Amino acid sequence: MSNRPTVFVVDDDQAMRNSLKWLIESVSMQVETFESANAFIQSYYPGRSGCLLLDVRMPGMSGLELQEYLQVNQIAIPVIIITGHGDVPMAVRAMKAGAVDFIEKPFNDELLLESIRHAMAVDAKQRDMQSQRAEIATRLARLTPREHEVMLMVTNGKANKEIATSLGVSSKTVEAHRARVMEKMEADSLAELVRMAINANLTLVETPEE
Amino acid sequence: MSALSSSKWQAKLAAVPLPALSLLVGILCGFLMWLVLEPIQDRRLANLFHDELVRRLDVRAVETRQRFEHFLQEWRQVGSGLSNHWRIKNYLGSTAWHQSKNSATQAILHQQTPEWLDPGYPKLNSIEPKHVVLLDNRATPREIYQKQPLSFDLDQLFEFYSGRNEALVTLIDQVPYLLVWSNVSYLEDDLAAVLLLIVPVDDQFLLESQSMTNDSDTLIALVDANTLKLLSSSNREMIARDSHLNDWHENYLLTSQAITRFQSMEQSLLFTTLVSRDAVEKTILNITKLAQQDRFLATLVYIIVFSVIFYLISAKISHVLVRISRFGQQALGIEQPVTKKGNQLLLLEDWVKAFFRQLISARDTLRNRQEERLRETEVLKSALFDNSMVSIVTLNQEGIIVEVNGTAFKTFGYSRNQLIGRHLEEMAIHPNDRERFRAMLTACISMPASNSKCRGQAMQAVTVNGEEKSVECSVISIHLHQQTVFNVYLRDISGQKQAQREITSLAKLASENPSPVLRINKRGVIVYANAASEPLMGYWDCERGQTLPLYWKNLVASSLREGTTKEYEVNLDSQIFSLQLAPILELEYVNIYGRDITRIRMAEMQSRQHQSELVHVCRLSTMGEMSTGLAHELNQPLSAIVNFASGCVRRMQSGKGGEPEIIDAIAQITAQAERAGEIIKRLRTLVGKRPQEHEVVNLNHLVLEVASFIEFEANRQNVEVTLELSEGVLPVEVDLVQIEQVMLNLVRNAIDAMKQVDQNQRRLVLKTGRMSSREVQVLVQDSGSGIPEQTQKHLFDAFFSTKKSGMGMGLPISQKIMQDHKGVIEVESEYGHGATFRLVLPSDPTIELPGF
Repeated sequence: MSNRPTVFVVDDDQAMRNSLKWLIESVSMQVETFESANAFIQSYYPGRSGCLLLDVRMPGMSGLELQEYLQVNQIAIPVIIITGHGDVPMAVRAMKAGAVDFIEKPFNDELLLESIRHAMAVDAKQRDMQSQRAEIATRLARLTPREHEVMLMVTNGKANKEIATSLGVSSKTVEAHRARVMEKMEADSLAELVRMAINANLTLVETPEE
Repeated sequence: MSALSSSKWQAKLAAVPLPALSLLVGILCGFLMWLVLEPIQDRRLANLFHDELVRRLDVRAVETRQRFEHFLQEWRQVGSGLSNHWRIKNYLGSTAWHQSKNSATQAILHQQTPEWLDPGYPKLNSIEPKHVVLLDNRATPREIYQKQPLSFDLDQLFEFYSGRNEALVTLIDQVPYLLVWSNVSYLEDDLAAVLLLIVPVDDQFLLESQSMTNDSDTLIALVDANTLKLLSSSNREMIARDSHLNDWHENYLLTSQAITRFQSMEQSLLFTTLVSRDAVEKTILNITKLAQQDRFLATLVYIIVFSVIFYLISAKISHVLVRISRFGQQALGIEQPVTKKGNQLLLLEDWVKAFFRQLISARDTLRNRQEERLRETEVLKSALFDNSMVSIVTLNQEGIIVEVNGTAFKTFGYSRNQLIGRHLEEMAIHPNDRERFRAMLTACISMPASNSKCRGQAMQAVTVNGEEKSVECSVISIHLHQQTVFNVYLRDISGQKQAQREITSLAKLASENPSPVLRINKRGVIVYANAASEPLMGYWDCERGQTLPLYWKNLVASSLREGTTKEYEVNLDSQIFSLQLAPILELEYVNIYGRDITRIRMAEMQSRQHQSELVHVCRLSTMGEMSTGLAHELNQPLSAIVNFASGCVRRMQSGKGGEPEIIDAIAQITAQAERAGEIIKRLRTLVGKRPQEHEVVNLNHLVLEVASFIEFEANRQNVEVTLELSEGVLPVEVDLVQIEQVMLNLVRNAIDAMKQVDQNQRRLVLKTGRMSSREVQVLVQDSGSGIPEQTQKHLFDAFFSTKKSGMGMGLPISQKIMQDHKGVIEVESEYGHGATFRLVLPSDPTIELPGF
């Protein structure tokens, strides 16, 4: 199965599904339709890129329930909620639960497609972030514990001297460690290293001020 | 005690049927006869027989003796036959005889038959002489022919020879012998020789002597008269020789006779006849038995004859008694002792006693009754007299009061004693009328009581208080033996006059009645009609005394026929009347009571209109509440249409889409547009205000329609709707919109009630079915939380609602609608277990559905 970004449409009304597929395919996007939340859960596997177009009112598992399920299972696919007329309270709940957008029926095609594109972008970004994080994590794994310590301190803005003092080594040694960290982490600059540290959610173990 | 038991016995006996009793008496008499006669007759019979037996024994004895003597006689003839034989004659002429006669002294013994003896002759039956001796004329035995040697001395025999031809029975050495002496003559010598046959009289001899008879019961024997010892007998086995004669007395009857003709004087032999006693006894027994049988037969005949006679007589008497008793019962009403079955004979005495007793009691009863009746009549008369509504006063010829009744002194207020002995006219008649009263009295002496002058004269009477009363006076003169008296009847008619006045005023009740009141006779003619009936008569186009139109005439006739009050409605142009036809059967009239119900009908019409409007409002409200669901539903096809259309536009703009693809999309657009149209159509049927009218529909269709209305709403609320419709058609005649609204109300309530319940638990069941031949039902069941008991009480109250936005009108209106349809709405709910609403509607299964 290709990992082309796909629009997953979940709606219990067949006409609705068919028409959405027809509309979205007109802008050359890949569409897959599901008649219920369960059908979607059963066929979707994490890692597939795309976005989810979800009718909020459905028999069986409702749209909101599906959202909840995705959250619990840490599936970060962007969700666009489709609501009927006057379902504003429902839409609000959906947005609070992390939907990227909500669209009222009947749709303005431009608005819908725009929303889908936006969601796709969000998805792409999320995926990018995720792949970066994974890269950083592999690089971090190459560091020795001492180098890890040094990197933490460096990215927290400690000067070499300070580092040398707190580690009880010479500045030269710190220099050497630092150069190796930069090399192992494939960082061109300190700024890049800091970004990586943020990306990897590295937190500095605070040492007591002297 | 004994009297009691005897009467009990008598009663028991009386119950025995007559034939049985007759038979019983007959048998009893027969037995008595038998018991009395049996010993006497038996004894007499025995005596008779005994005498007869003795006589017969004598005869038998004589007979046997004669036979014996006859046998002896025969032997004598045998002897004389032998002595005259030619052989012996020849021998006497021969020399041998003469030689032996002269020379020999010893008798010659012959072993073979000698020449002087006929060889076959000296025999009688099987008996042969033991010796045949030929003696010469000197009685010397010359020749002896013997089978056996002689056991005794021959010489001693000669003393028995008397010189005659004779046969003698002689006892020689205690053995009886028969000696037959025959003289043989030769030439002139008469006594040339003597021939002697010696025959032992043994048992065989005796038997042969009696060979003529076969009487085995009779035996004979020779007995020595001196010793009474038996010498020989005809049956050696039964009677042994040498026994004593007395030994046989026990078993035999004995008769001994002397045989004098064949015995010498000195001999004493007895010829004894023995007859077996057994045989005799047997004979007697046989005869007695025969006699008994005869007697039994005789007794039986006696019983039968006696029974029949007794029965005939007693049946006759019994029958007569029964008839008399019945007669007594039916004619005189007195009880007689009669048993239904059995015989009356035994009751005869009771019967007679009872008859007299009852006769006396009947006489007493009759007398008492008569006295009682007399007394009653007296009492009745006096009661009649005293309590008569009319005052009755008896006057003598002078007009003085002799007797008054209670009413009189009540009416006039005097006591009885005050009135008696006074002049009536002075006491009670108004002075103006006294003259007329006196004239009446005088007139009535000569006139019959029926004359109008003596009857019903109106007068004024005066009471003790001086109050005047209208009375009607009648006088009857009664001519007694010595005098004439008058009965004066004064009837108080003041009350009657009052009543007349009241009747007149009552008539106004009808005539002044603002509602129509009419009376129609059985032919349909208006007999009476009050003023208020004018509009009705105008409608019927007829006057008083004219016949009603045919339709109404028929109604009157049927009302009279059925005898029941019925109500009909007449719609005049401006007024509506309800007419009650009340038949008066005994007079064959029908009263018609009219009632102007114009206002009532108008009010009803208005109320109906209001209701119809209310239902409409209610429906609109339902609509409003359902609009969200409808909008959502409508949104679906519309959105789809927009999507398809946009897709098409984009494809066409970019030139990407193929024609078939586009056509397909447009077809989908059409389908969705139709779907939207369908939804809108449904909406319209729901809202559209149809005129109120009843039509016959299938209840199942109604439920299906309602189910389609609420489909969206139910989907929205995730309610699972189940229809359980009866298989058959359930025709109901209803106002569609109204009944639909009732169901919509119930279904919507049910859906609302389930909002509190978990989504998976929301179930709504619509069920239809026939309850009976006249009723069908719809059940609306929800799985909601149910209705608390307190709430159930107020469910159908107006403005009672448990919903925030509810008006509290749904169920009251539903109830009103159901009542208008003669149906029922009821609820059943257990708190926490849902609720069931039941609609019951009348249904005639014979109605046909239009279009079916």
